[in-house]
Amino acid sequence: MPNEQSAVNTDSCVIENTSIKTFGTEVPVSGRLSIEKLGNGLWHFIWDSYTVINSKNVDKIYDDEAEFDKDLSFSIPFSQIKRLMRRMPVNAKSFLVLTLTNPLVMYGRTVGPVYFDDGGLPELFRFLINLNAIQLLSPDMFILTQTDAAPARTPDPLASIYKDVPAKPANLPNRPKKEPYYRLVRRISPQKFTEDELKQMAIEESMDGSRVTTAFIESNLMDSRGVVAFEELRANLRHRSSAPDATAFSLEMLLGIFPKDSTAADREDIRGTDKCRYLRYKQQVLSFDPEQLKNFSTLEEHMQRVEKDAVRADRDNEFYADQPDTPEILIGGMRCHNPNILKVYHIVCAHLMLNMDLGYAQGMTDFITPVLELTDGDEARTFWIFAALMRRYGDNFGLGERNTIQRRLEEVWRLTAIVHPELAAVLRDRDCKALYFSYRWLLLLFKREMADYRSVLRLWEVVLSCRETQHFDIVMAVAHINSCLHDYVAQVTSPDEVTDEYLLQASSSWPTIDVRELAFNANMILATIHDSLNEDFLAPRKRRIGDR
Amino acid sequence: MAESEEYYDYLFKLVLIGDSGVGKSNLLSRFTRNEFLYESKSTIGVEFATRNLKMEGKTVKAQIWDTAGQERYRAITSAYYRGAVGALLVFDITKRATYDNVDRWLKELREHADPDIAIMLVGNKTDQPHLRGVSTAEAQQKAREAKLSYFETSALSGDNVEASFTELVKEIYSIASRAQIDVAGSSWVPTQFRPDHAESVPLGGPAKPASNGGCC
Repeated sequence: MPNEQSAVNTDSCVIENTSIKTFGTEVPVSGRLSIEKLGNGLWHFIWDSYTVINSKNVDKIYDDEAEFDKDLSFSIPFSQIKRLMRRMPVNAKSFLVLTLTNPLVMYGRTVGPVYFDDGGLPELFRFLINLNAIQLLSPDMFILTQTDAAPARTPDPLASIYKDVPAKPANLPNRPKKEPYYRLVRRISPQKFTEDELKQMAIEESMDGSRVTTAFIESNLMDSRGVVAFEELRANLRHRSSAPDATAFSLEMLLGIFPKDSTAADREDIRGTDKCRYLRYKQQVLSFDPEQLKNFSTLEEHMQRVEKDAVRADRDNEFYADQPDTPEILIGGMRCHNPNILKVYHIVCAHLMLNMDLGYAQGMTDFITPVLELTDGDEARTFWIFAALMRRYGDNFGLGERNTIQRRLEEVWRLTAIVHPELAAVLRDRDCKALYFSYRWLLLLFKREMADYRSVLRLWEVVLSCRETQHFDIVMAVAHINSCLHDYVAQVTSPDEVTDEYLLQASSSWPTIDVRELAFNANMILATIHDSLNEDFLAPRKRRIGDR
Repeated sequence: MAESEEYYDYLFKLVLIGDSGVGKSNLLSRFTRNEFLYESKSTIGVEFATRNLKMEGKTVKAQIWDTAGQERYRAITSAYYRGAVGALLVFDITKRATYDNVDRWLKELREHADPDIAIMLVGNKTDQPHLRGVSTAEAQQKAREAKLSYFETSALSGDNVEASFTELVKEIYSIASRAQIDVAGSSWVPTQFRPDHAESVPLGGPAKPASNGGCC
């Protein structure tokens, strides 16, 4: 079993006992896949077939029998590989697809994509990443960027033109330039999209047919009774954003508000029951009179906190901003001019009746505001999405032993050390292991780091639809650190600039997260740390006898 | 601006504490950026901002930390008391409960902060006199008893904000300049805040800015 500690062999990567399928044959051919440098110094994908192809598994097109006794082995230089795709289909083994620049011709037939079974794919990807030879095109599509592992620097084409120009303009004093203190080499280079590229992606995404719409779900993913093909829905949402008309339903399915096998009629029933339950909780919490509350100080305290936070929830968003025409609404001791604020207040207060042990903690309203706007002010629906989010993430707000945020931060740290050991070494050396800046990311599922509700909801959808891990939010945090924190540490001119305080300060100027970019980079990281993931880190820690 | 931000003789870490919703974040933005955000949100985790002040010809960089007011977050924020030399304990003069909690916050400071931390009690939101629930005299009385200075401010109008922060920094400055004579290794200037061009922390005398200073 490979383990993360073992040194990675940098000379070659060999996967024994894998198999490929190609040119239409239904029989997988077993063999040995490797990445090696051949005599000419170029990296190659090499396939050594264990079996010899014969006329039984290839359509006969040549008369020459001898042609068929050739085995299927080949070696392809990186430069001839157009792209690599790692496909992770629902309910099936993942596989690799090689697409070549010039189709490989064997036996007079074009060899199409080569399918490798998932034998050691994580190692293969790790190897390629160590070679610095990989670049991501989309969550599961990669291209090989270097034909040679040696940093083949192409000579600057302009060098000769500028060779007589002084390096610095003469009128500037020649001040000693401060060099960056740390030389950090990233193992996984994050993909950074330009503004134009992002715009283009947004346009493509908003086009019909590109997003998961209600019509698409109904006609493609539902049977006649309205049972949703859940895994397919999940796989779709993983890679494609839901259209606004389908987002609430998608969240409800992903969060398990409706059972996976529920029919349309079941869901109607559940919606009805849930609505009644919500109204009952709301009725309960609002029925306390002042004297009761005075003698139920825990509830009173929680409700007062909700008041304070409800009136300042996302006032910069039109949906919650003061409306000059709306008469003053009193919420406990606070005032507002927007009925949607009152709804936020009702939803959180009703939640106190569902889970008083959790209670209200600052930041919880951030889980409500995007959803309430999405459902156009549907309180009951928003309440249950909120409640389901709290079932999953509420312990991040929990008290004492129940609080999980610390363990999540530790997990971010552990994975960062795997993904970017050099950066982790600097942080360890400088005793900056707290990662305070990522606290808010994890607590509010990046809600405050996004530009608008659409992006927030998309990010939540990506996190909830991830099949490989329950904790994709943590992988996203690792990706963001690999990108932004690296950039900061790589430019400091003194180790004194690497302290918890400086890092926190730096983080406040990091750009707003683009969900496509972050998801993209997190997917790339996920593909490489796949077998280092530990899904059980939130489980109660066992104490052994003798432990203090 | 950039130049004055980069060079300083002293660095003081101050913390803003007090119940949620009393206006800590807006006091901070008013003091450091002269801004008041009507749409400010609850603070999650910790944020901070800095501003340089001149004291007797020396530059003091005030690094002010803003923490979430809610009790539940104190466990994570308590680390932020480390190295703090001053605290503004804020309450809302229109919300009696936030004033009643001042004692709880003082207790927390005693538990987590340096025993010599300079504390200032601040009654915020004087722009709403018609809603006042705590009288000036009463708050002054409490401050006297606890040996704190007391200021009333309005982050919204800007009233007294500058004066209160400056007063606290001045107080710390005078203690610090005395302390540097006799207390070696005190926490007045945590070493991690030392500017990279300074030779030493100003315990044996303030560090001088690099003579070839001026960045751009």
